This record gives sequence, structure tokens and C-alpha cells, in this order.
Amino acid sequence: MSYFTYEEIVTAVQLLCDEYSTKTQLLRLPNLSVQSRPIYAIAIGETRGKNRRTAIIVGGVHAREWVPPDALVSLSADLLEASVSGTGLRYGGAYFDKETISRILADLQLVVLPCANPDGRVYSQEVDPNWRKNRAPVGSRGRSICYGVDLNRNFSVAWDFHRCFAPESGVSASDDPCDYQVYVGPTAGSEPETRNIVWLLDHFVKTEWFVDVHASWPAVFHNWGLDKNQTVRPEQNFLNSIFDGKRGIDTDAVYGEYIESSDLDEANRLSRVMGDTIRLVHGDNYDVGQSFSLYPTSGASDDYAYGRHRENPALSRVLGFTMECGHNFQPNWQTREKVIQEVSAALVGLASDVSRSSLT
Amino acid sequence: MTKKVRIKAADLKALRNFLLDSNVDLGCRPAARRVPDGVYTIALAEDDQLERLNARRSAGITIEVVEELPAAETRLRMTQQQNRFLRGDIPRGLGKKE
Repeated sequence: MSYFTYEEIVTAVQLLCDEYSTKTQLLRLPNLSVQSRPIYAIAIGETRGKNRRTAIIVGGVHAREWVPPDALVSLSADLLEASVSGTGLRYGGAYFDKETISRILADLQLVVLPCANPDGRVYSQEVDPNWRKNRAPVGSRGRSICYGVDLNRNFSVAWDFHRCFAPESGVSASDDPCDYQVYVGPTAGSEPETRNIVWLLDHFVKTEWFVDVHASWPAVFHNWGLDKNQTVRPEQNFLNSIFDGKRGIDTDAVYGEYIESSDLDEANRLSRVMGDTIRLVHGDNYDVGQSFSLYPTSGASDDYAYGRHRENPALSRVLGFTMECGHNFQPNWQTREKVIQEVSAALVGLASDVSRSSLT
Repeated sequence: MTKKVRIKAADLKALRNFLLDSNVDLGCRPAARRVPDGVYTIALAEDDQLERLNARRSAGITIEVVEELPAAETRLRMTQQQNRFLRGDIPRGLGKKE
């Protein structure tokens, strides 16, 4: 077995939509990649549409993390096959019976974007396996052209990190177009691959959960990545310019990112659901908690997803998660399969949990 | 050669201060894990970066190489050129249907 190429991912998604046409919808996202590759997502559920209760699941934002796109293709295939054949699903020691699979597809729409950054994946698999960003030409150094924006620093949440964060915060971001890892891009949302994810959140107006699958810490993180969470001072939030230059220090009493206590409780609980489910699969122990720990991050997808309803209260509240799967970016075959099972189980576990609550 | 290294300090502040401006690869989200005798993170470093890290290491900081990543050429061989789905076989997941 080998890792999927981007071409294989596209073909696999199209085949799944053809085979399971009554339970899927193929979504061609509005923006081509920088190098003009089409990007596809798949909507899974007995009923689909923009007004369905939705969980959005994204993979492949970071090119070198080869497992998540493969895992999301595998998960999609599993759910559809089990649903049609009337079976349950087992991943190691984690088991979901057929009633659970039926309930998930009856109650939820899962919108799965297996590979958000196809140009990066192609480059990572053909040229530089450590490549992380997209492939936008963004600047030059001497005679060399510099390529790539870190899509997970490109979303419009505290994107202007020089302004938003304390100088000593060590925020994980760079405004150097030649930075190999964390260049934030020329403007917030500048990249077509970023805008596709924004489009998904805009289009599926009843999205309640957003999971961005990465590698390889391993952990299940929830909001916020900007600063330590606090639940009592709503004025301390990323939109409030009074606190510009003060964010990102975990030991101070000056600023903490506000999150409603009910949201924090639910984000904690669902993170634990995913972590506990992963442990059942093969016994690995993922960290569970807030994504801010060592340094803050700006412009990340999970914080963008959750921050949207703060900027516009008319939008639905979306709990944001980042799953960091496995221990390596490109593990060997045997480990790849184990990590795929962990990711799949965690996401079925999440869907099972939230679908159950909606029917009671 | 890229190495995966475990960098440990007595507390989060010491770890943060040590790594600030180190320019090592901390993965997609810079994270730390607490252990009974301190806190650590995992980083990827090339040989020259590892040398620089060791040179600036202060008391209480430990740096341990936990793994040497396979060479880039080896990893690039982990994909195949043929599209395995072109024959029309429906993709199947790794979950057991039971």
C-alpha cells in the first residue's frame, strides 16, 4: 500500500459519489488551487444541503502531512459502505454498531474535504517531502523565487500578528515570504485554498463543528490558539483593538481569549470523546486540550471557524478542533493504517456523540 | 539528515525562552506536553540546527534525538505513479464492516 496521490484522491471521491449517489453529493469548490487544480469535497448524509446540520472535516492543509487525506477518503468509504450494507464499523477496539452509523447519516451531513492543498501535496510527494505550504509564488530572495503561504496562518483571525500579539509572545507566524514554514500570506484569506474552506463555512450555514485534521503531535486540540482561555471577561477578545500588542502571553493577567463557558465545556467534552475513542483503537494516548500551549498561533482554521460568530452574531456557532494525528508526517505503511483507523474512529465517535444528542 | 528531537525544560517558561528565535520546525501547532519532571516539545532539526541548539543549551534543558527521519528520497518512494482507482474499483476504507 502507498500514500494516495492527489489524482487518486480526486478519482476516489468521484467514484464514491458515483457508487453511493443517494447518500452523497460531489462538491467542486469555487476556487482552483494556485496551480489550477480543481478541489473537491464530498457531502455525506441521507439528506444533504446548505441548511442541514453539518460537521465540516478538512485534511491536507499542510502538504507534508500525508496521512489525513488518506484517512478522510477511508472514513468516507467506510461510512458509505457500512450504511449501504447495514453493518457496523470497527477500528481496533472501537466499535460503532449499525444503528449508530444509520443515525449519523440520518441526522447529520458530513462535509469532507480530503485534500485542501493539492499543489502542496503534489510538490511534497514529488520533490520535497518536508514541504508544508501551498505553491503560490510570493516573493524573491536574490535570484530565487520564494513559494508558498502557510494556509493555516492565512485565515482572518488575528491574522495581523504584529499588531495583535505581544512582541515577546513568540507567535507562530512570519511575514517573510521566504519563510519555509509559517508565512502568513500577503493578506488575510489571500489564498484560493483558504477561501475554499471559508466558502464551505459560508455555504453550509448550519455547520456546528469544524475539524481540521493535521499531523503529528498527537493530540485533539480545541479553541483557542490565540491565548489562554478565560470565561469571565468577554471584552478580552481578538476583535478588541484595545488589547492589540498584549495577546499571546500565558503567564500574564492582562489578557486571555474569551470563550463562553458552555462552549468551553462542550469543546472540552467533545475533545475528550475523540481522545477516548482513539485510545480504544490501538491504545495510543492523544493529548486533549486547548491548542494554545507552547506558543500562540494566528490565522488558524479552527480559530477562524469559531471566531466567525463573534464577528457576525447572525452566523452559526462553530466549535473548532484541530486533530494532530500520529507521531510522524509520513509513517510507514503499517503505522499509516493504524493512524487512519484512529482518525476515522475519532470522527465517527464525534459524529455519533453529536447525532445522539440531537435526537433526544 | 532530519532528526526528530525531544527538547525538555523544567517548566513552560524555560522551554519557551529556549526555543524563541531558534527557528526549529515545531510542526503545525507548537505544542508542549507536561511530564512529572518538566515539560517537553518535539521538533524537527537538521544537523546544523541541532548543533546550534546544543551550543545554546543552558542548565535544565535537555535535547534528545528520538528518531532519524528516512532520507527524502526514501520518503518520495512512498507514493506510486499509477492511479489505482482508474480501473473503477470502489475505494474501501480500513474499518472492518461487522
